[in-house]
Amino acid sequence: MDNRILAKYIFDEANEEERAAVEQWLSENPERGEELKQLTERLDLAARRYRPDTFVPDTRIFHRKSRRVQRLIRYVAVAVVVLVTGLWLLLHEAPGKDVMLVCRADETREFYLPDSSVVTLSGTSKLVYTPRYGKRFRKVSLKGKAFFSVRKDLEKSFIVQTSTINVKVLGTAFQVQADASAAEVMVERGRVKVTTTRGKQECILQKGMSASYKTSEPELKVSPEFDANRIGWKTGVFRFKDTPLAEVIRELNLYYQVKMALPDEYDSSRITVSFDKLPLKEALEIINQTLDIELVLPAATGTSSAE
Amino acid sequence: MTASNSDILESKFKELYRPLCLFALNYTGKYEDAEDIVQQLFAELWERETAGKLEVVNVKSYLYTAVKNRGLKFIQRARAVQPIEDVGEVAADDNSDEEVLRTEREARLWNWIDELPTERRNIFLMAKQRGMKYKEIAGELGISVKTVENQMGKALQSLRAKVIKIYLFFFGRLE
Repeated sequence: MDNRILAKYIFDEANEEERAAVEQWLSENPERGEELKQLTERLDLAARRYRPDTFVPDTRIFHRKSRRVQRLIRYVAVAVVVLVTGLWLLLHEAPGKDVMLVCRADETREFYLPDSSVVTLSGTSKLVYTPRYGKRFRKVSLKGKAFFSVRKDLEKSFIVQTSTINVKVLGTAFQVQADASAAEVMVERGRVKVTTTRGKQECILQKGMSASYKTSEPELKVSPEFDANRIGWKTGVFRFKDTPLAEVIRELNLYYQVKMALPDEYDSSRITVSFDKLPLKEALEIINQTLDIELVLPAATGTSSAE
Repeated sequence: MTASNSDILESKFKELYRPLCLFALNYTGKYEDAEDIVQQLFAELWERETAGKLEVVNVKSYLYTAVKNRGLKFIQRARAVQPIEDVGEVAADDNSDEEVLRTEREARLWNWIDELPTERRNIFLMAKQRGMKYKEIAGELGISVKTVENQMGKALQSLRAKVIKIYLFFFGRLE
């Protein structure tokens, strides 16, 4: 239906002929009546309280507090943590005792290592290091998933041991996910060297690269790409950057174990958005917010007509 | 590290500022008061974040709840000093999820109006908000009725384009 004529119909400007045409069009399919009803409701809601140039977010409001103070406080906070961690280690870590860092299934926790490298554990992960950490190497062993932000120290390599591989860090930030028989490494920043425990296969990963290994197919596989969302389907953390909406939907399907399909004509819509472990409904809401569209779930489509 | 907290707060600010203002407006009835509530809230959160005392867990529902509480407080205070009818209508309390969804939809529709080209936006608002006939609009703007028709058609077209339906077939859990 021609929008000009439909608008005239809605705004009561249509002549006899146009009105008849619209009513004919409406009668051909009951869904059209629903669409018309939704449209008029939206028009009402849109205009009800609208004021131009109103309620526009202005981040200047947000930065009233000076960044400088904030940074200072952050440094102090970090210093305190490092100090406390250091003291604690000094007092409690008599030589010979391993330190085990753990984290519950439903949480993500950040720990400072003695050299103030930061490790973020998630899920039921376990990270162990010995009192010799930092003597010659900075060696930790991991079961589970961890993100490392490693303090640069060219003298002392940082090494993550898992059952199947060792990851030696030459640079800064990366993620390791490992269980007894498989491991995956993704490098966000810097460079790491991966060595398999058995067979001593080696590779060096640069920023953005990943490697995987499993004992059932004992070949260290290196991928030149690092699609952040490859972890997303496991972690629920997605970073989409100018990604086709259809692809976003596919990824969400994987994570949420649902099957959503996008009408073809919207395949090419692109979106930049991130989700952190959100319920599906909220994820869709964010897409709606971002693209300013209305994604409708079928459970709701029965009622969406009654919105 | 903590940087992400302020990033989250800032992105939530950009994302939710408008719907939260509209949500506050449900209570205050006055645009400036609504905006004050939301700005004040974010300023306080920012302060807490700066002091490292902000835990970000389910920010969104926290924000809506906070705005609602402040809105209700606003009404109480306002009632003490002015006749009730001057205070914005209190939204029915039965289903605040519904209220939030509606407010968010309204905010999206505001975005839609904002994005219309200036002339089209003016024409639309004259027709919809001021209830003017096409002929009156054409007269006031010194343009032809045909132009008004075309602009209204294009406005409607862009609104229709916003309603996408995604069909879901569940074979697993939801959420």
